[in-house]
Amino acid sequence: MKHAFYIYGSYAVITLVFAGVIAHSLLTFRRLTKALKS
Amino acid sequence: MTLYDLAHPSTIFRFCDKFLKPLAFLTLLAFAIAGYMAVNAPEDYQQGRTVLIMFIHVPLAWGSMAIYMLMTSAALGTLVWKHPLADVAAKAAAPLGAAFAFCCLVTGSLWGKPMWGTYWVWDARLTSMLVLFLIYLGLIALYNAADDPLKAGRIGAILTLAGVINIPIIKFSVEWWNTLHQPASVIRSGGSAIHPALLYPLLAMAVAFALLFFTLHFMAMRNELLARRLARQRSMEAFEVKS
Repeated sequence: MKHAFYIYGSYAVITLVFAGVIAHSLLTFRRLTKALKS
Repeated sequence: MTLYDLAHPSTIFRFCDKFLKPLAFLTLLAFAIAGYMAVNAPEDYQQGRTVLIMFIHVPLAWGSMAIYMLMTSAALGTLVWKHPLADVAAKAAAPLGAAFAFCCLVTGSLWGKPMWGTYWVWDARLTSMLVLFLIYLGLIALYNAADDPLKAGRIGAILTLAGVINIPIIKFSVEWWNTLHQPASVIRSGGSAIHPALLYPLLAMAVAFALLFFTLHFMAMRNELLARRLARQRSMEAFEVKS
């Protein structure tokens, strides 16, 4: 596919960014619930 | 349920918790449908397959501006109506707006190189979008710098209202100035200039990104409410130890 680097690159960037946002949010939730229980 | 009932942190916490899983499922479903439509869309006669980048770039641009408008209404809620959860909503939305604006800039840049021959030009649309990203970063820094969340919320609301001037600048920059960025082709007087075969995947992707935002916003609001509950609990414990 022509310009595959730019196309896959774009999708890779948004996947990484939003996966990071989701992971951060879930880890924060776990940390906060643990802290509240202790 | 009235707006007054929703003003209670525990009510909104339960609301976020209850609707988070169905919303996450809907988001995944919407991305699956939109992805299928995008992959099967025909090639653009000029862009070829790079039109696939447009299916994510355009919804991200709309999203980053829509999130700022949501933060603006939350800022009014904080300053005018003093709604106790308005600053929670605004603070939770700021990093998401930054993520949307960042992804919009990067995908636009990756589209620009094969189509324009350059990753970046200092034209009005690109620069005003960069300014929006910087405003988001400023708001995140401000919300995290202050010890008192209520005070941070009020200052953040003022900065948000000051920065809203940038939204019409982004929208109309392609009409007010000569830009390399093309003029509006979907939301414009006279209807969309895009063929339905490319327009429908674009709109499907916009719906998927909107659902993604609401899912992430619910998660972030839930975390912010928990963080405030924890801070309150710790300050009460510290007070009990002192007395």
